Amino acid sequence: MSLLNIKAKGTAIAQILRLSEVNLQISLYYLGRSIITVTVALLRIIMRLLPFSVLGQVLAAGYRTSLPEFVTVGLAFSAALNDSLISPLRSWRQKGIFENHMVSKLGVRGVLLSHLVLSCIRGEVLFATILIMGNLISPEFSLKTLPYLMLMVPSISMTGFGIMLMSAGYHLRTQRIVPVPLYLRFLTWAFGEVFFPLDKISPILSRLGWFVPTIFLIRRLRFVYSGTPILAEILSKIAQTYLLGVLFLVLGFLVINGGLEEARSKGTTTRIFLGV
Amino acid sequence: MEILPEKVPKVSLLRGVVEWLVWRRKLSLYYQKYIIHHNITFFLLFLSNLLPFYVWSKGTEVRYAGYDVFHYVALGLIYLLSVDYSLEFAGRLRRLKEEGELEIVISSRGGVLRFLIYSLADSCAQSMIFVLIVLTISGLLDRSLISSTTFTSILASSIILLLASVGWFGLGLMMDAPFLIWEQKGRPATILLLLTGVFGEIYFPLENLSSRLGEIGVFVPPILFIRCFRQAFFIDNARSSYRIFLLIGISGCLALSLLMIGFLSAFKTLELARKQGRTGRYTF
Repeated sequence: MSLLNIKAKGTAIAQILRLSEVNLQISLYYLGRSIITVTVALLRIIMRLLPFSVLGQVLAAGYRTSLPEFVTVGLAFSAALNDSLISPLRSWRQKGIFENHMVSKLGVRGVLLSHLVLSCIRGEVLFATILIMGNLISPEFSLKTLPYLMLMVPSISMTGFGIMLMSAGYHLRTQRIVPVPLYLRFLTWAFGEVFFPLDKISPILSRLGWFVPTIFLIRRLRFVYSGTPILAEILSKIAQTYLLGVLFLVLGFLVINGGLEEARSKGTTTRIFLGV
Repeated sequence: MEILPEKVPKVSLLRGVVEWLVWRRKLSLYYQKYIIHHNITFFLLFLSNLLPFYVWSKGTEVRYAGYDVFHYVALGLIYLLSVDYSLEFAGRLRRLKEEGELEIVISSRGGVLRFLIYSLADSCAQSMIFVLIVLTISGLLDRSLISSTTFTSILASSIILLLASVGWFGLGLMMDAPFLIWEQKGRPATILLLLTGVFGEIYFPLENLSSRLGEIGVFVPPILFIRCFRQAFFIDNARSSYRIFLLIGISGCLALSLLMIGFLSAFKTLELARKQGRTGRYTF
């Protein structure tokens, strides 16, 4: 395919072309499977939301508002995080074009930046879809703080993406398989305050929450959702999440760059394990 | 090395079992390097699904169709995650393809037949191992789950779960086999599993939904398995042992019917593909 053969010379225009090429290929990839992908994604969301909505209905009055709210916000957060943590590079792997881009620094930068942008967009879409579906399934769930919450989504994607990069970089450097993104995904579900607050379980179990770095983000997300009227407080929480996102992203880029340098020198770039 | 011989001689049961074990080990070895992480993530997946229901329903005395909410969801998840293995038909074919041995396996009628029988045995074995592990985890989380039942009930419900795995294996074959011929990408088995997750009485009884939504449960045929499984698990076997046999009988009839249809459809599909020489073009 002609787009695949564009030679990037290191100029800004070449890089933009390469990024467009990358995004075009991803879009084509997802377009080809859109109906099945969307059906499966929607069923997964319903499978998660509906049981808690039913449970909320049969529980005592105090729970009726708190349970759907808690779970819907948590699920939307986890969907945005997981999308950046696991999905993006897997689609590339399946297309068999990931390794082509790993051979040059410019190629890697193009792939990673375009994936970050794509993760943020997909994260926003997933996040909004889940919140709207949550509102449709449980009318108690309010959408009035939706714009502020949507503002926070890129920071969630950046954090997830940074962690995924660190995991991939570690693998490139050591050739050891440790699927950190998968572990983090399930640890976030179990002990990351996604489906229930940690103070509801025993103190020993709740300490597992210390190993979930994203708990910082979800607590700020819930604070913004609670609808405090002071704008400065909201902005301060949003800024804090972005600070964490940038920190993880920079660390991720540093680790994967180091890992790639080493892998290139050993000639093992094609053996990258993406933790999925 | 061939996984299965091209021509199938008449073999004894013992030799068949040994051959199945070799085949199973060969396929497992392919993913051996991920096996520890796979088990840890599976454990975390189960825990993350179950824990929220335990936390939210604890101390509330809310019941689903007469069962404690935690018990209801725990048994539902045990059922869902154990039958999940039975839908691995396409996955097994994919592994064979990646190993470059798909052509060998389906190049003869005997090879196809043996592949299907070994896959079925594989599904049943994995489901039973899984049930034992997960039941232990659930029991540790809340001991009342085990203390409120008896050994006979656990045995009976395990047999029903085994039959459910057989039925789901047939369903998986029915769903995935046509896609081998059409050379189209599709995930009908996954969609069926997700539909079962939503409307298959896994997390909540359908009576708690509005009547219109609840009617969707009609389109989820294996709902009978989970109802029999739950009833058998909490049955008072001292008074109604005949009921246990009835539940096993119902599950057995349904499982065998599904298996027969699935087996026939997969066998015919693979045969057709072989005759037309299209075996190398499968997309998974």
